[in-house]
Amino acid sequence: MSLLDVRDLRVSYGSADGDVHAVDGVSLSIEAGEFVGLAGESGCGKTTMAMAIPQLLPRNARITSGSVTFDGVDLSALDEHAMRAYRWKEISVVFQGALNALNPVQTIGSQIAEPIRVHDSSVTSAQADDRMRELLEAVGIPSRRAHDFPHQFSGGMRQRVMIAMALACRPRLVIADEPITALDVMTQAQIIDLLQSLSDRYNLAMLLISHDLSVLAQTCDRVAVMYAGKMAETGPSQDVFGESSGQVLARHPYTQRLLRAYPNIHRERVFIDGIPGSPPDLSKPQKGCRFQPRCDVALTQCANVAPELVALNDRHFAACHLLDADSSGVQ
Amino acid sequence: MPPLLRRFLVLCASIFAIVTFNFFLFHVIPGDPIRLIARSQRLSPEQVAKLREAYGLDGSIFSQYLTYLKNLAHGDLGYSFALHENVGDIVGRALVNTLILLTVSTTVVVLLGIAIGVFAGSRQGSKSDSATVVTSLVFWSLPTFWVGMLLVFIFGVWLGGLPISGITTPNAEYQNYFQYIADIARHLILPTLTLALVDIAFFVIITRTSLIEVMSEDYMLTARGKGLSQRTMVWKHATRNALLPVVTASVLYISALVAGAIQVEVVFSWPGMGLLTYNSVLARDYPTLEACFLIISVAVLVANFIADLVYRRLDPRVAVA
Repeated sequence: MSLLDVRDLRVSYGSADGDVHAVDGVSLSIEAGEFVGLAGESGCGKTTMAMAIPQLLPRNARITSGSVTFDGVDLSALDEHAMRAYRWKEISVVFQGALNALNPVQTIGSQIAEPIRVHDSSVTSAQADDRMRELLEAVGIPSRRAHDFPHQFSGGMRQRVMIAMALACRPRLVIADEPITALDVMTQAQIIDLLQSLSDRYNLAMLLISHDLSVLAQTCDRVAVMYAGKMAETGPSQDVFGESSGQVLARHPYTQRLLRAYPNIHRERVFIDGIPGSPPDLSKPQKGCRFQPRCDVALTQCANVAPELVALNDRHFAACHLLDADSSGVQ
Repeated sequence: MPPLLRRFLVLCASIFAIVTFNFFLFHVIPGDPIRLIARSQRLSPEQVAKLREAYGLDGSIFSQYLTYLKNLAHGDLGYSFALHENVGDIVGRALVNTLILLTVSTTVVVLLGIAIGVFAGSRQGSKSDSATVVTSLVFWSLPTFWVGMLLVFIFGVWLGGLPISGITTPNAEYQNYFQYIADIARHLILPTLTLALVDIAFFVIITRTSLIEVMSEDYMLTARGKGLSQRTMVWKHATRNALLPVVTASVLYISALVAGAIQVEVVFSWPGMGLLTYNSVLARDYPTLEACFLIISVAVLVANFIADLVYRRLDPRVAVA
């Protein structure tokens, strides 16, 4: 049994112009200790899908169908009170934008130590304090800075504080929502290294959300690519983002175009090849493949019939009609 | 220049400007104190001139201004035209009375206002939230003097038992200090209740709005993600952040009360700054008025300074700036 099993999840936001179906039938599983990446452009439902796991969606969002099973328990069926026992203790989150995610008027030390005693009342405050200092050192912050406030740290340091905080209760799953966005490249590399080493050390499973494909390719065991609320392609990262004799291994046209939209420092590619057009308006009912209007290899049925995920091997899946008829490849 | 020194110099300049402005303001408003004194008696022009000289109103307005500044520098606030007493003594007594009312009522109004505001704000959109907002706005829109008179009617005439005027019971003899305090406390009940009923909405609404804003901050999602209870989230994580605008509001409120909760002081004959200012305006009592306004101005400046200190306590980011 997987540690986390998201099945056919649908989440919609109520808005004045009708419901926006941000996540529309997405499935994803994560094994204990596994590093899974989630990619896609802004607004594709990555964050919504991730926040649905610990039930931290905003008030106007609701899960319309599907299940989120963690360690055999369907979290989507739990009430707020029962859910609290899972938050941070089992599933913690490294939020996007660490400056805003930290309380400006509390010291970082008290913010890190707080959940420890909330989830285990047998821990004394001295023990929680020791654990907080140990966590700070583990993420590379001198523990004497425990009494400092968030604004006294740089962006990268704040992200480290956020990570230390996420590990406070030794959770089994950490959801890292764009943990390196808005950091400089050197700091990004440090944070990613830190996440990897900590997940090895504490045997954490991690769901890493990013739109930086190179980072995901480098760090994740498995990756999933979302487009307009649907899963486009998922599989081991070398199958989805890798290359074999100069050919990309990705099978979904969107993933292929996404890979071409990134600069590659190993090759002499001068032009970055963007994808013309923009994602569809998710408040309108969708017919056919959502990528079809932007797809340059679309077939006639793409406009009418939504493609199902096709198994390319036992771990690699993609949702594209080109793969239905023949699985020899899309070029 | 160190920021504290700069702030102090600005403070001095502000006080000087206020003193000057007040002096000229009261001399250009229509009405002449000598004519008010002389109104009831038949006085010859010579006698009037003598009176003018006695009160120091004979020179040019500018020489009067210099005299005023000189005396002020010596701590002499002048002699009241109307009450025939040293202004310093009059204002001192009034200020103490006002400070008693101000301390008690501000504490009640601000603390209750915050508590009710947090209660309503953390239940945004619920029935209890709407009921709280509507009730406090209804009281907010009632005139203070009217609420005061209503309370006088209810507690003084109808139910009885609560003193409706003054600060102590006239001719009371006290066995000990506690009885004296208890007597003042009893006299405080109705003025405080009046201010609380009318003004609490100010703090309820500000706290509520601020809390609702804070509740949507990213760090509140973090707090929720940590598995904290709603209660801990609201009181431990949101309230302190939500209090910053409340501090500003409290300062404005305290400054306004030093100027005298005029309506309350008049209705309940509370011998404070408000009542004194009111009577001094009627009597064109320049020295008393000038002293009142000077004290009000200084109170505003001091209150702002205290707000600055409180900000530093509440928000560590301010200390750096």
